[in-house]
Amino acid sequence: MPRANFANVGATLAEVNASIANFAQMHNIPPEHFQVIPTQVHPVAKSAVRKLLILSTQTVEFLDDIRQVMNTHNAPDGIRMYGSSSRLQLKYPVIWNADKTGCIAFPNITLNSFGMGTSARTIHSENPWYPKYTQDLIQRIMSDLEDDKRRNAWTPTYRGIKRLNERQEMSVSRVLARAVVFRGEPIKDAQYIDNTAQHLIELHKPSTFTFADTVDEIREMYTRKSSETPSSCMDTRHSFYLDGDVRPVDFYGHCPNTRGAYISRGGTILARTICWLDTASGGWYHTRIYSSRNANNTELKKFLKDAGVKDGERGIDSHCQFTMPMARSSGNDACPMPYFDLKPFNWLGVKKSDDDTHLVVKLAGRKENTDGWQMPSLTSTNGSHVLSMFDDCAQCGCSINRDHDQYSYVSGDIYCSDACAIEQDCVMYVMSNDSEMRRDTEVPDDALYAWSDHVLFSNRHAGLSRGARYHPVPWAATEGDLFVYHFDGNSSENEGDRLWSQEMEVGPNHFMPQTMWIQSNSTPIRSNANWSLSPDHAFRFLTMPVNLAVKKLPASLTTVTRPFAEVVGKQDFSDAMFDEHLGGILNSPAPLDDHAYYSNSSL
Amino acid sequence: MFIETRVENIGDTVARSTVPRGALYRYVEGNGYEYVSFGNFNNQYYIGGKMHNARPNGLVLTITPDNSPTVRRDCEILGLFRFVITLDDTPEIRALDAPVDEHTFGTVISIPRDVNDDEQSHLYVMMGNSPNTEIPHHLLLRVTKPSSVLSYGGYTFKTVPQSAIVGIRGKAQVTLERGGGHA
Repeated sequence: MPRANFANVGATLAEVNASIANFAQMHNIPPEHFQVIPTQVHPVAKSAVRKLLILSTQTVEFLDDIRQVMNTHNAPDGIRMYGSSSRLQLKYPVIWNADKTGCIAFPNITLNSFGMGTSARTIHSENPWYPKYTQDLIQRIMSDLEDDKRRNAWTPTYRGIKRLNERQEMSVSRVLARAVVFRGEPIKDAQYIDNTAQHLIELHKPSTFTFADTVDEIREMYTRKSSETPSSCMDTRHSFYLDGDVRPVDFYGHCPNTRGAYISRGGTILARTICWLDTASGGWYHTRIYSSRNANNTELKKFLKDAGVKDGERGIDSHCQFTMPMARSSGNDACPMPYFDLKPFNWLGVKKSDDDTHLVVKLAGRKENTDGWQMPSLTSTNGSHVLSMFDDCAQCGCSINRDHDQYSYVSGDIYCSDACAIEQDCVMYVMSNDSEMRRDTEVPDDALYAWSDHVLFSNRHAGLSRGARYHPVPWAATEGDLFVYHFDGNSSENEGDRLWSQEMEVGPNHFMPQTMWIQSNSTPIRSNANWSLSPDHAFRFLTMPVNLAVKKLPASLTTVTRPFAEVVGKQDFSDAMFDEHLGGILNSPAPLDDHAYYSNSSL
Repeated sequence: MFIETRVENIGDTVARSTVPRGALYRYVEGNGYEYVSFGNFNNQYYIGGKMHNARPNGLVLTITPDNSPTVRRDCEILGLFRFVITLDDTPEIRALDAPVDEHTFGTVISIPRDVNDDEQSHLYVMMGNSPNTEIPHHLLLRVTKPSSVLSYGGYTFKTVPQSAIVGIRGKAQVTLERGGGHA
């Protein structure tokens, strides 16, 4: 670090003194009415400020570590750490030792107002003429220098500087007890000091990777004692209407296809995820990783990779059936139900065991029969599903009687209508022989968007065989296929008009029956001078001739400018011929003969 | 006399929305049909033609909404086309809706008092009916320069009433020029 140079300050202050003296002389004010600012300060005072500047960065880091630990594990007053810099201050500079197991303190460089929020940048403006953080220290040095006895503590200068240099190796506990001030008072609670010292040391230790398989381990993973722990709507800072100590995340502990994975440091969870077993491959895949810092996210990802757990945001299927203890919610039988980030199954069903003592849970594929299963909402944050004969629509909340009402399942959520499903980012996915509502994130990338809203076809064949065709007008083809598919979720007054169906060439020598829809307000769909319906209602598009003798451009030409048209033949025509040809046939009529008259006299 | 078209990137792949008027192109990963671009009408529709060898006349009119997923697809520019206009020996002036024949796609007409600054009639190729009027109008594509000094510009599409008095001037045919790299 470059040595702080205060020479410019002294020169500037001399200019200020001179300016004030000039002002006094010009206005005939006795100069003793103004205080002269000293341009020189004692070398020991300069040395004190220089030492603080040297130690500032590491001291700020140490103080920030204390703040972080207090923020994570509560402050000495038992309240979460927040507020102004006056809450947490250092009495003198303290830095970590080399291996960060203890500290080095500089007790003779006493500090003012060096607290939480102080940055190395603000300290950089410290100087011995106008000290802020070393104000008391410099005042004491100057005061001592004027006292015959106390002067010896700072003179000769090398003795004073040596005195400032005094450094003490201290344990973290000792620093907390001696150098740290909280709300203007030293910390006196020995247990708190020990715990905080331990947390401070752990702060710089490597993190630990853990799999959570049991209910207790899963609960531990979702325990949030610190702001370092990523938040979750299912964590311990949220309460649910579940009786006893049951938590929504208990589900993961009971399900054989799920396990938690997290990294922690000193009992603080830093990053976590849920892993799913892909039943087809037998491999484990993790879902989204939650962390409060990117570094922790990256670290957990590395641990997971080393443990053979792959990233499984898409493309896995996890099916199983298991039992778990019956839970109670406000006196009703209930199933703990977390919020699911990933749903690697088509539906999740819950029912009571035959003896009504346990819950049976099933994660199933699309083709499995849902009869007898209740479908909890998997994106609800209620934390539980109360077992009853009714389900609630995941969008509007209305009650659905599965025996009588129509409903849609989408990735485990139940909706009372397609419109409700669409409100929650679902689309109609149409395959060649089936169709279903899906989350838009679960539609394959190569699916085809339909012209109709909220519809995708699995491929072109599905569009040709299950959809109709949209044409703005019936006398023209379209570039590409604009497939139409109407269902409850996208029907509207503007859906267009259905015309007719016929065999149509949908590719070279490829014919399929197609139905045409056109826009409701389009130009006439009936025959007119330009176009007429074919007698057999076949599609009939306007055509014009093409010269099949194709010219070839030179291979080097990639840009060509040409007239848009050329003329064959000559023709004698001018615009005046319009008037000439028509011969004034629509001019105003000449006066009528006596025996003729207009029926409309206004003429 | 005729408006000029500039077809760039022959041999390259561009989005359909950037295919210029006058280009011959086909869709990448399409089903092999080739198209010609007549331009964009009212910022609502891409007007073009589909090469269809199975049809007697070869070029099928296409009208595609500009908000369709198709226009985001990639196309390979194959070359260019132009209209070859064969003028009738004797032009005919009459109403378009006269039940003489069908004046549809490819008929070349001119309109009274629609001239350039040299008093020369503009020529239009008929494109069928306009797609966005409830009352049937004819959709016309101007092929002549907007003025004697401007080679580009002006609205190339125009509509006229179904019964407009026009000069029937001839018939248009499309002729193609392919880039050297294409068969």
